[in-house]
Amino acid sequence: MTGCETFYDVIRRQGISRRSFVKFCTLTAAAMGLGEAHAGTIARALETKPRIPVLWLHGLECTCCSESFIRSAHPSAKDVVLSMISLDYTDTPMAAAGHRAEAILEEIRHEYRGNYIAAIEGNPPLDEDGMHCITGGRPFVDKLEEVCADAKAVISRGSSASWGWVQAARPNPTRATPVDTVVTDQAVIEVPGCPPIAEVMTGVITYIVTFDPLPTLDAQGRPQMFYSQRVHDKCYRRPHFDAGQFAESFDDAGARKGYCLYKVGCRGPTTDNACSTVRWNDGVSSPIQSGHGCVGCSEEGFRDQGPFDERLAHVGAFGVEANADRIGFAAAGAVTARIAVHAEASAVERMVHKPNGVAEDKNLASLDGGPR
Amino acid sequence: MTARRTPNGFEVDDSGRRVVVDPITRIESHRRVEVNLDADNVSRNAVSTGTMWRGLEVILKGRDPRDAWAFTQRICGVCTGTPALTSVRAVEHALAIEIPENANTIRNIMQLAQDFQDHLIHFYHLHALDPCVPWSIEDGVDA
Repeated sequence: MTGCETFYDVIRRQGISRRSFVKFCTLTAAAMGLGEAHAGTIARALETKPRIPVLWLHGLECTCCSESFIRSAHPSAKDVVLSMISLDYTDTPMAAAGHRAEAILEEIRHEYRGNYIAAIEGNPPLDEDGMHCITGGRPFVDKLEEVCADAKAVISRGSSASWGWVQAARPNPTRATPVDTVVTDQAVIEVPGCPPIAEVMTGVITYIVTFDPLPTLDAQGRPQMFYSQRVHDKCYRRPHFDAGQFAESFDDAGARKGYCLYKVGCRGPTTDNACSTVRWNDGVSSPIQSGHGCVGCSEEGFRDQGPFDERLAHVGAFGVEANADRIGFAAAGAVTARIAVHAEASAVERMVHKPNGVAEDKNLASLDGGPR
Repeated sequence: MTARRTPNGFEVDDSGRRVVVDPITRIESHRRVEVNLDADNVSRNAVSTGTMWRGLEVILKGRDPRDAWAFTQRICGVCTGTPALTSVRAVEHALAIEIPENANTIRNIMQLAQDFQDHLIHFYHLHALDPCVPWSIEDGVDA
């Protein structure tokens, strides 16, 4: 293992110039929203601090977090995995298999006790003594508890690890349980999203490597720098929301004009994530930009809040700016404010709701009646 | 030699040299492979077992059919689009919905784009290491 080498040593050995290194630090500082002055801090840290070993465990999961991670652009996954950290164990892109893989896990756990990061993708099932997820011949939950007990920090990667997600959806057949319910004696950094944005995952690691103390977390344990804004706040369709211009179905004139997707189920107003600003695949696009509303994949409990093509709060037609603004204003804030949104929305609904309810369930009607 | 039948109908035994590779890496999810080698180093029995179950079939029961894609998509994060598209087709088939020709074309383009990126990921990130680092496969656990 290369525990004593620094990030800078490694990249210089790989033939990367000092100039490229400084550029990398500046880009990374910008990606984390830290400003130019912090580029120096990042550079100093990467020149002096030894690379941190990372053990990346997989529980009940679908590997989409790893898939997202390898698409990170700033910093690139290559820089993170090959230079910044020492990714010593991960079920997916690891050469070793079988007992060799398990031996690496044990070695790091003992040699770097208290000095490695445990990154957890997926969650442990607790039913049948954890038999629904076996790895290396024993329940995943045992491995999880052992590895997290000696870690410097635990990162819950993705909504599965953070909130339970798809396998914990009703009726939760395996009693899939979020990581922070099992690992209670460690600070767990939640990085929710299904998958999380690549730059958010690499950004959190860069932050830990650079500043040593963990990033500032919000009330739900998520790094504030990436989860303090709602998808709605910086959404490029926001002007249409403010102007009361909505797509009523996925194939109407409003949808073609790129109007707001709130009425066809967009969860942007109640979802904290950086999709609108960081976007995906090196900033190419985001779900809303490709024409479907946000399903709220980074929010706790979103799995059972479907149908995803219908509004969360059944607001009647409120297409005037005053009401839309009031709803937007009430939604600004944290979790408690969301209750206010629902109250506000219900009040609007009571005011404008037609007594015979004709406006309801257009989508369901079209499901019964031919092409959508 | 003692033999045991697994719940899915395979025979596991302890004949010859028993090689167990668990976990299998560079795949989605969790897998264990057991092989029995005879004196000539030829495999006489091999059992491959998926060691994770999430019960997505159970979870999908009673849900709005329009949401099925969001759940089936999470069967595998490497080939996400394919299970999603398949579930959408299954729902349309069940409800006798005919889609316009353009929708079919767009779906085919999406599926081919998915195949393309999937092949690159599979080769360069996952399977290419097998021919490059042969010890990782052959070196299992003698039990």
